[in-house]
Amino acid sequence: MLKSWLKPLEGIVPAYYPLYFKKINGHAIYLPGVDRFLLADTFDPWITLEVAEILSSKVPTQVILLGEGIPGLSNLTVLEHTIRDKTGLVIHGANILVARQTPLVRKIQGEGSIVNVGWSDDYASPEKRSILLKLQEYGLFCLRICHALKITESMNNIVPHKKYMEDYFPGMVPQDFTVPIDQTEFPQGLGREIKQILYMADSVTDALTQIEKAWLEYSQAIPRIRETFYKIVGIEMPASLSVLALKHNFTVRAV
Amino acid sequence: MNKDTEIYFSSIIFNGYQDGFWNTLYPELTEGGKFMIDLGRRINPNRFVTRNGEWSLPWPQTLPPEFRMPELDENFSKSFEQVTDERAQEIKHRINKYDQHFAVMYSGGIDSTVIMAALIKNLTLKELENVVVCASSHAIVENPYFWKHFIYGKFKIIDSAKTKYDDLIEKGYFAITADEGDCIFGTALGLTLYTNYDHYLTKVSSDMRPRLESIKGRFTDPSVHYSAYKDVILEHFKIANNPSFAENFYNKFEKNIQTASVKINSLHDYFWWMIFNIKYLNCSVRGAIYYNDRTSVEYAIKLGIINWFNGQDYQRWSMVNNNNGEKIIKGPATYKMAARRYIYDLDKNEWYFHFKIKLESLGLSIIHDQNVEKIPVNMRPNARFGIDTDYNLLYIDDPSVQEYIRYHLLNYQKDW
Repeated sequence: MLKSWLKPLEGIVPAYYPLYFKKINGHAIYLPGVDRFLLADTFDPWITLEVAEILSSKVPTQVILLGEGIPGLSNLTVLEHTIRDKTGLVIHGANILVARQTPLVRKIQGEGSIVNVGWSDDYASPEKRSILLKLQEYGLFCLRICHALKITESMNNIVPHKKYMEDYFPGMVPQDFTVPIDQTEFPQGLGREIKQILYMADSVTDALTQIEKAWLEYSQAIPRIRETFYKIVGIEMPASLSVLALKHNFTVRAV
Repeated sequence: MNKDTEIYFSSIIFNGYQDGFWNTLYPELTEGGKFMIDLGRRINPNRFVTRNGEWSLPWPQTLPPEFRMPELDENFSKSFEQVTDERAQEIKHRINKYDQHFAVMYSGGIDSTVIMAALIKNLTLKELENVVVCASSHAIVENPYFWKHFIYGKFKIIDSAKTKYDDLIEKGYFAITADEGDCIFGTALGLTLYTNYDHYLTKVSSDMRPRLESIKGRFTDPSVHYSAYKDVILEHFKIANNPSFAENFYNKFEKNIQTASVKINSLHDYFWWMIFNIKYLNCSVRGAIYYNDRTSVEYAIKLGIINWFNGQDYQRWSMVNNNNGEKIIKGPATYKMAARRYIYDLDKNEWYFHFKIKLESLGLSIIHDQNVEKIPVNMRPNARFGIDTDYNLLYIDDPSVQEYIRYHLLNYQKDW
């Protein structure tokens, strides 16, 4: 009998990747307090989870993967949709095991398990409506930034050594050894620091300003990294960053 | 510096700092001078100096005596293992006779792992107390098994991200580097051609393609002369906006081969000769020039830095072991087979033996800042042009150096 890992397309794993079933917008962020979905994405469920984590500084979130029979959600109407049967999700209540500020991933199945119930009455007033729409835009902004970070780092980070040392070499690295996170000057690495900005920022404008400031402060980043990041975000790099020059304090090291 | 100054080492490099100088100079030059700068663009840097055969340079050049090529000895019969063990015995002798201390620049790559394996095989535990390992996190991830079982906890480790050759020398160490490993086995320039062969085939003329298809993969077959691959070589070396560059480079190197005393047969011989002959000096001295700020370059080259593979026997071994499976069998994971076997004999790591490939340890390291804040910008490593025969560092911002370069490049005529 063929071992399960030699049959990669069989088993439970594909069910956690809606795109495998060609489902567009198959993973979504659900807001238990609003009882509506906030946004949906197509590409990577684990980036959706990262965004849910970032948004959890502002609102409790859960990530919902839509099962095979459920149509994907449109971001134009996602705020009108909710989960019909939430009894199995147990996302409210006092039980620390299931009701937390830190989101988890849940999978729901069955035709009709997502329903359009219209705009939430609790958020019908202009002020409430405005704040919910602001949250949605912020969520979609974070989603784009997280994709940009993932792609930028995947294409450029040739020294993710801190992760390797922590994950694979416990107790095997000398004290005070230089262990790079990436090739930027961000003290905790590009991805981590920009996600920290997203976690704490109040708005898209606030986040963009802080991100620009951070790039300026840690300006030694190889220009290509900055360029890739802004290109994938889909906005022009601020003029203050495009004029940054290299410091020329590096060279090859012979080994 | 005047126009008659002889130099030991020069570099035409596009590293962000020197680009402006070379680009400004370029339009003034004749074909010969332009070619030398274009070679800098393609090879980046252009630091070629011949050890055997003709390879003209724009400026007066002398080869440092330490790096002359030995005569070809067709009867040389020592194995790689024997040569390597004998090299380790030299270190053993220096420890026992003079109580000298050594710092091995260890990257986890095949060449520096050979050094560590040789020392572990040939030295006693007591003698190994005189050896420290200078490594970075690159080394840990490049060869995790060796790190876990043979390095960590067994040797004192110095962080190479914070340590340059001058630091080691000032602490009383002789630094051992494997920087010339590629010179002994061949070059990554060849590997990149082999792995892109099919792509290059799509670029050559259709009448040449069947012939090139028929010799695909026979890179180490001495019965297939490298010149049969000329069209692919030209594709490999071509640069944008200069259609004649690749042919120029091919012809200049061809002149070197034709005037050399060593016979070049296969395509891998061709690339081996490129690094063993005209790139050898670069590999030998770049550490002393670019990764050293305080120690005199002369001391660093002559004594402070030991180029493990610069031994005469390694070079003789390299000259009589072409196309026999010792240097490469076919693909990238068979490169440096003799060295793989030597390491495997110690560590029994079949993954490393079968799958290790050449990684750009040097290239990777550029992302680390050197601690050069206290050095004026115009004297930092990126501003260095080379050394003269008195081992003085030459800086690209020095007006007399600029005038020297300009004078010689303006007068450099194509001679091939």
